Amino acid sequence: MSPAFDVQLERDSFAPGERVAGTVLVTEGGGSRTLEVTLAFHEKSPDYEEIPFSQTQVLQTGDVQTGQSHAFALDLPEDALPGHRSEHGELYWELDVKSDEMGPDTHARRRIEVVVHAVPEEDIFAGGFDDEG
Amino acid sequence: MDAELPFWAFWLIFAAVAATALAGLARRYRRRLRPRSDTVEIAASGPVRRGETVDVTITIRDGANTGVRLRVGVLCVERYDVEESTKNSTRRVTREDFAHEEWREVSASEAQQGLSFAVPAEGPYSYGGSCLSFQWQAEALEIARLRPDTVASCTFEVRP
Repeated sequence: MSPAFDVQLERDSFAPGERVAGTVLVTEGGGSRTLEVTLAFHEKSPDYEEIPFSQTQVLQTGDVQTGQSHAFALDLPEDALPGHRSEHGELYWELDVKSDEMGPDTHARRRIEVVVHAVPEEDIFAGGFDDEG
Repeated sequence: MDAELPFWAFWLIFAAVAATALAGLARRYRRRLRPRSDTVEIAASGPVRRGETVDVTITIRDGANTGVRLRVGVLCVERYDVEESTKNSTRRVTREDFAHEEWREVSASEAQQGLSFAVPAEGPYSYGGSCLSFQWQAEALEIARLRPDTVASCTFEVRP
């Protein structure tokens, strides 16, 4: 029987450079060779898909049991781009939990939002210096 | 009633289909085939962020010219790959569309002029990918009678 998973995150929105941390909950146990989670930036046109950036963390090797949970933490790059959907394509970030199995693998996917906040140049020193008395 | 299509109706339908196909081809390739302007220069400020404005400067090299109409625009060209089926195979082709465009008619009576265009906060940022890309550019279109339209263009960067 194929296992099933739930990806749990404290929030769905992150800034570039931030850590995307959460838990993979096994909602249904089953046979698995490897359980891993990948954070990836996807580029999608009507017929093609590319992944310019991806980072993977292995969570477990061997079968998974119902009720198990695995914490993960993956860092977004400092220059992570926000998502964008247009008429003919899409750019987006996604977490993909993959259970490598005999036959078709099981996936649990969850999209995250990357938000870029512009910092006005004149505000760089607004917080003052650390060594100010 | 004679069920056969009259000869003239066949040719009428054929002409309509051919005209539609040619119009589609002309729309697709007109931009690429447009000659470059040798009298108008265009420059854009940048990089800018989404939600800010981009400043575009037009210079008419030989001085003011009242004999032409000038349209200045800021546009974002979206290029995306699709699989196109031919009779015996499929091939990967890149198509183009406008993710954003804004045009203004300006007077060609001044040798140099500047305009500001808003870059939408929710619009695309400059991105060059493998199957999807967004390129921002400013264009000046010279529209004159009795000769093809000419274009001057420059690219600028839009950051997220």
